[in-house]
Amino acid sequence: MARAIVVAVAAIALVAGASQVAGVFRRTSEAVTGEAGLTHAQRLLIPARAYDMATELWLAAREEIPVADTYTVITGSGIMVSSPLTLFKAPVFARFYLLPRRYVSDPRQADWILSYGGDLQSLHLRFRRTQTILPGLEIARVAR
Amino acid sequence: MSRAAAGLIALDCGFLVTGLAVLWALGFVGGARDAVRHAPLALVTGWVTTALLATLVLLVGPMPTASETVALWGLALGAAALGLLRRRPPDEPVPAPPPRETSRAGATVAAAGALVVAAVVAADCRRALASGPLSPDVVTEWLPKAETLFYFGRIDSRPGGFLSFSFEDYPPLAYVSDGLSFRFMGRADPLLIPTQHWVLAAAFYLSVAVLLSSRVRAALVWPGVALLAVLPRMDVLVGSALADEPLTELFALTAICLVLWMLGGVRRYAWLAVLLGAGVVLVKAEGSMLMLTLALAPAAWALRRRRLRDALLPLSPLLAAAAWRVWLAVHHVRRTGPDYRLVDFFHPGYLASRTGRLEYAARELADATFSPKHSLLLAAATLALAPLLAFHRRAIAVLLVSVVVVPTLVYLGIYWIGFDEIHLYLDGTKERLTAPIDAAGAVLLPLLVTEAWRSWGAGAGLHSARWRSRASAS
Repeated sequence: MARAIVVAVAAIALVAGASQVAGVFRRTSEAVTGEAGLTHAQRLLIPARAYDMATELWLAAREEIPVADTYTVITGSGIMVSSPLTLFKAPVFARFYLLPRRYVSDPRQADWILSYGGDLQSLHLRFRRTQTILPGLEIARVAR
Repeated sequence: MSRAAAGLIALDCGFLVTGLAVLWALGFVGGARDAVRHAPLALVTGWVTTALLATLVLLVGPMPTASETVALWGLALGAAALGLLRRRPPDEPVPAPPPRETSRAGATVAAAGALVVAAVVAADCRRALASGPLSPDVVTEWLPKAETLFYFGRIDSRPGGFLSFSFEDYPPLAYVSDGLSFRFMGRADPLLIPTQHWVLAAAFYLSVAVLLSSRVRAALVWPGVALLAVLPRMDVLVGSALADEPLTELFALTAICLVLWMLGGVRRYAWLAVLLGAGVVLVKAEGSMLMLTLALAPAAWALRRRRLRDALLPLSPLLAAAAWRVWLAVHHVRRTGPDYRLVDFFHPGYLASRTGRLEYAARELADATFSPKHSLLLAAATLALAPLLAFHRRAIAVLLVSVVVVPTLVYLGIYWIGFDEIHLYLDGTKERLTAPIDAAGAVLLPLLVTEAWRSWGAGAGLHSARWRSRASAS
């Protein structure tokens, strides 16, 4: 009886496993197909695209902001988004994408402000220059 | 080949050599054939050894550079060569020779299992090379924190540094491991990290086979490893760069080592479990709890044999967690946004107001732990075999129940008192939290089936008595 239970347990687990084999290869194919043809730079931006973010701001920020500088991200209603989650995730993605540039939460300590639909004027800071990447997406260099 | 890829290959070669030295010192490897057979286990062992050493260095100073890591390898090799770890006690039992697969049917089943494993590993490689979409948690926390170690060279408390990210109190081994990969790449390229994780995952699958084959026939070993490889949780985790991936792998290997120790009384398995277990507790916050669920039954088993030093072995990895706790206390680091407060367990009113949350979490967690689709019934199989083993191997039966039941109850309690919205909380965590339980079930299944079969077979009494006398002699 005990040996029958042992065989039954092993058999049930193996059947459950066998039912998954095809799924493993299907999911792999889907994942690989989704990435096919993308460049290294495009693949790095996939997490932003997943939240329907416009990625032009991050690309420009990487070009503009020196690696030793600090920055912050402000968000607001100045840009159309498909979900509030997009605005919530914008600074989160920036912190991943723009390292080793240091993110600071206080705009007064930042060398640069990245605005994802935010209002730069509401910060009451002086800017050395402001660059509009797309309507609602701006990079501003804070004057010191 | 790019410089980054060459750096990762050099890193893995370093892991391999270091791991072989450690396995030699522990008595696993005695010659060239042994070295080849144990190469996957050596890679994993070398990775854990290196990550632990680098973590210790990080706690007292800077993140090791590539050349400093080579120096750490030299230190490990020197320790092994001096035989500091190789102190085989005179009463150490000689391990039984590994069982050979003699029947043609058995060899066919083993080959079929190995084929499935090879196919899944190849598919995982394809996905890792494509660096599939990084999960939100990887982007939010795991990779940026590893990158800060690479860029800023230490656990940086300044704005934008290591401690400015969420989950400040999470133990650092997973970040250190990826940080070392960046060091050897010469740049922080997140898209190469899945490939490095794939190398470790492939070594993990083969390590399971290496360890199991010391007591289990190939016709059970390879289908068991295939079961592990097609486990939906492993499919999601391999190459994900989530810390749940190394946690699951190290937890499963520690579980095998402890069970092998209890079965044969061969202490080298316990020492290897100590090393892997230290990785478990330093790779993720819940690692300490998981290690405790693994350690209690072996510790009690050793105590019953009046072996106090042996009883301390499975508990000793928790010292690594203590070292991290001390570092947090000394540097006044506390998590800014905790998910729960343990004191809430002592507020009956608070608990009573959240019974709906408890009910929902219990339903979802039971589904995640026991449904065929998610867990391949591995947790259920583990529980089903426990009573059969309880007659002859009580400590192992207790360990099995502990591995499945205790973490499940702990997670249920946390979901009950947690602050986050329960639907989002469960959706984002339940699959990952139950992965180590399922993986442990998968790797132990061939061993448990073998032992249960032996225990209840003809001449079971003689067989059990032989093993019992061998274990007690140790």
